[in-house]
Amino acid sequence: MASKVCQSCGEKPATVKFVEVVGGEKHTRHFCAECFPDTGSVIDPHAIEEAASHLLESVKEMLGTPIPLQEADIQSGECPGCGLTWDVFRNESRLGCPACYPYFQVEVDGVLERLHGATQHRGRAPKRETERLERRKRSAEIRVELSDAIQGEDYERAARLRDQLRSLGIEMEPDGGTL
Amino acid sequence: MVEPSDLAPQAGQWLRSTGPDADVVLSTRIRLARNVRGYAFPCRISDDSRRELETRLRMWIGESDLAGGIKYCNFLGVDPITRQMLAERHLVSRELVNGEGDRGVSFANTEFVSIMTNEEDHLRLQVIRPGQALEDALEEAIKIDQKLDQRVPYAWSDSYGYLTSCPTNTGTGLRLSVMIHLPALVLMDQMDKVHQAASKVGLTVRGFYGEGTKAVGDVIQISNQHTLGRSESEILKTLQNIVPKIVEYERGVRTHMINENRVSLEDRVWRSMGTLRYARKLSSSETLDLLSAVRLGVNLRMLPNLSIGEVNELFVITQPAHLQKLQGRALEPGERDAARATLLRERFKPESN
Repeated sequence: MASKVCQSCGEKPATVKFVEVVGGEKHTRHFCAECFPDTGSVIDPHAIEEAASHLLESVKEMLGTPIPLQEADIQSGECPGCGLTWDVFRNESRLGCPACYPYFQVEVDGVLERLHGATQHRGRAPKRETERLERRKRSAEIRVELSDAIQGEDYERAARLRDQLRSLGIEMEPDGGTL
Repeated sequence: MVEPSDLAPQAGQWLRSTGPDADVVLSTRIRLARNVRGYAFPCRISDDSRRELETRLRMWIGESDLAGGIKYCNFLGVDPITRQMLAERHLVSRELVNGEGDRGVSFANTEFVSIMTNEEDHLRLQVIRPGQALEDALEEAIKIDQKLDQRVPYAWSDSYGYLTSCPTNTGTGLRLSVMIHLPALVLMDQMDKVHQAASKVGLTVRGFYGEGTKAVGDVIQISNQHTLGRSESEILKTLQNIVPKIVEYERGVRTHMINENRVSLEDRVWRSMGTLRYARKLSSSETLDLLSAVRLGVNLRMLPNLSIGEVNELFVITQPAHLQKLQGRALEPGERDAARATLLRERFKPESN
């Protein structure tokens, strides 16, 4: 593909593709990196926020559960389940309750990686958890079929699938990592 | 509820039984660590919750229809010597002995199965078998676990698996361990090779009584270090790969010693026998070393009137708490050494061998 020239200075090669939708019409323009900030952009920050939140909503809807926000840095607080702090763990090498695992996730992952070279369980599971995971898997499959049915306007099938989904019960049950 | 007196020092069928590869392997132990959803781990639980949980655990275990019935024993009602005795027999951990508050142990299938409650984790399920019986013991442990999980809501995470207080147990909560007697390898200074081979595949080597104890009596414990990121059968395979190799190595060196230097070996066995027959004071570590040589002698058919099972039992019942239990009273360390020598003198009387 022939490289485009910046539509602002008309000299340098364009590296930024700027797509704007105004009144339902799409306009594509090409700029070089230097000219791009100077184009007096019409980007509305609120519009971005709104679009992002729409996206988040639809993802949440797909997953059927709020997305837990992950704290990327060191957790300095107390575990909501048992009050353990990471400093105490460092001295005693014992976690205080099941809720410590999600609360100190970043730190726990570091410790587990060092001890086991892994952070993901492989192996047996309690029966009730296996059944829950099977229900969850089944419900994901039904959802895909459901959206197919709706798109194909097969409402009879969609209604049947919806009833199946309901009969699976609670869509997102918590696992044992909560206190 | 089991009375402490029911836990007589000679009980414990597995002590005297022998299993596959008994010439080298003393016993196999499987342990599963489990916790209950909705309760803090024992290190941070309140006294009230601990008591409540202990009652519920006892009920759940009792209802679980385990082999050979179940006997529960609350540790608060057990005297210190009996507690110690159970640890010497490897039926409970040091952690449970030294712990505080409501806690206990349940036995099923005559001491082959024990379930500790409110130890480092809410539940510690253990299956012990004489000899090398990794596969059978694991199978039995899993069966019991499956019975328990019909009632007990285990603390679980889809990503981390079974949640435990110490991250060294997270995931499967599974510890497989084999107790191995390696007198020939110790004598020929080959133990470094065993340690290296084990650590290369992620296994830990420890002494007769677990963490931090040295290999007295030429007995070591080999167990898996990793519990997360490997399935139960993968962990089993790691041990199944290495244990037979160590067993063969030990047997090979024994044969070599017999062929090359039979008299020296016999001298060693009979000197140990002589000390056991005639000494008036014996410490527990000296005893283990002497018994190790005698055990080797039995395996090499030098002592036809003694069985491996009898020697295995002596490894345990000459320990301090068993000894005091047999004497029926607490003994000072000096008195213990004399009592131990008396017991051994009796067992090794010339006419009885």
